[in-house]
Amino acid sequence: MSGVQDLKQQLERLGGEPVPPARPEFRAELLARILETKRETAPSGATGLRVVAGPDGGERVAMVPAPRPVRPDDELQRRRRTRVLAQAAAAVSIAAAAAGVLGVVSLVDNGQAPVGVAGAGTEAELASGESLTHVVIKPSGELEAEGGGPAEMDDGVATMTCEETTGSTMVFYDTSERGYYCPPDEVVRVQVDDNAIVSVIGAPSAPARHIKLLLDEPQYVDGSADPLTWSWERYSGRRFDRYELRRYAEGTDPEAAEVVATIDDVKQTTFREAALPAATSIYYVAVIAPDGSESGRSGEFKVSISVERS
Amino acid sequence: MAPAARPVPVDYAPVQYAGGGEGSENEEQQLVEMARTDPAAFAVLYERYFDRIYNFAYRRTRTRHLAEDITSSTFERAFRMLDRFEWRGGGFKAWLFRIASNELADHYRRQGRSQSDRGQAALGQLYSASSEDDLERIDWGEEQVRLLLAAIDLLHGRYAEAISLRYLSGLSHEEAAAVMGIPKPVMAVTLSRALKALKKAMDKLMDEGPQ
Repeated sequence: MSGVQDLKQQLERLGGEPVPPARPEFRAELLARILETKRETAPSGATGLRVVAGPDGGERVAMVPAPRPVRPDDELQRRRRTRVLAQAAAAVSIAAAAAGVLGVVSLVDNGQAPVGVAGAGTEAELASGESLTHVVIKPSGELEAEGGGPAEMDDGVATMTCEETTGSTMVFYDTSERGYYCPPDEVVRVQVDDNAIVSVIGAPSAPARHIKLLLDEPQYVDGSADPLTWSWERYSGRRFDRYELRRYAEGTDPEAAEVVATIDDVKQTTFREAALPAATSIYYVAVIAPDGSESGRSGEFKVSISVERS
Repeated sequence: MAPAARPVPVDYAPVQYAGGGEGSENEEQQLVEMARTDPAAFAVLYERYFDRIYNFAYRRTRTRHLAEDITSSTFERAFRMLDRFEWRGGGFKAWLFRIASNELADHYRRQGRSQSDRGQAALGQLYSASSEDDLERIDWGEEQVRLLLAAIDLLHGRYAEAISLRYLSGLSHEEAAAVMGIPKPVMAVTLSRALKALKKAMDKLMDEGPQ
């Protein structure tokens, strides 16, 4: 049995072990404290159910049979979302053109639960449902991937046709666990390097779109003059605290990316950077929610300065 | 003669909520909607998930007072932010576990130094046994668990979160994926890599020994 499997079993045992129960007084005090907070903060015009003084001097739950009013921002949000989607569609051709000129690769995150494959020189991971299977990619041979069909590999570059099987859309996973949406019938070329990084080097001809995330990929990169400038689609959800523009060097851990800029204004969707990175860098924009979690993330794009700046 | 029952105004009609185990998604969705304005409904959610959140926090911290702190801040935060909660994959439970997971991550970020301390303490116990008496006093199982938790502390936040949610929270693979907001296949990949990273971290702790 491998060490990893041993660890997994230890964790499973640990997760199944009984836990000493919490102190009853702690449990009761916490609830009382929370409910007390609620009484202090509940709006006076709250509808639905609330605690009020009962006829015997105690407290009772009261029913206030009023419908939940439509919040004024609901309609606003809907209109805003519609407008943003329309803008995104109009900007796709500009984005594709700009990316092509600069050799920038726009990768698109996915929100589906598809068949995925990530490759290495000789080994790849095939994820399907909850299972994870290792498969072999032969550098000079074929790549057999469930749902992906055979791929030809030449000089480390595999060309494959995306296929849709049993409702699953094919998605490539790189070793940083990001998935890249591959529309059915589009041909993509992927490069597999020694670090097990899969790079999509031929973007799908049709614009891929986000399924869950409301952010779109960066829409343009202007490399004609310093500094680099790019923009992204305005976040239209409700869980917004700030944008974080992040950068990491190619081949390093994306989760350890450096925060290049923090933008608190949801309307500010452009950024210019004068301090150009020395090596090939990958950028993305993350939306941070008020509770510190990520509400969304844009696609990534790569800036290889040597091509345009030398 | 018994007095006639006094009519009860509708405002004071007692409201009964189903408690106990987890209800259906519809039932819970209604409960959450009510809890936005009704403390009694929130109390039902609290009773429903208190043990699960507390157990998760305890398994991760191995300390009662820390587990209580995490549980407190989780429910207090959930309560304060309930108006902002939007029903999506995994529902209220996933949201609650996400808050707990963030609270744990915040705790370990704030206590950065103690991460290594915890590993060192566990290693110290194991390595300092110099006599048979010492060896008999050591609870090897407990020390191994502490070492394992210390190794989780050393992992990148995303990996630590994946392992904690999947193995220490009682959540299914699908539920843990919902908490992390990622598709199931990505969760599988993340877990696979997290376990490998955990193995490396354990080996590193053991190789380095107590400092």
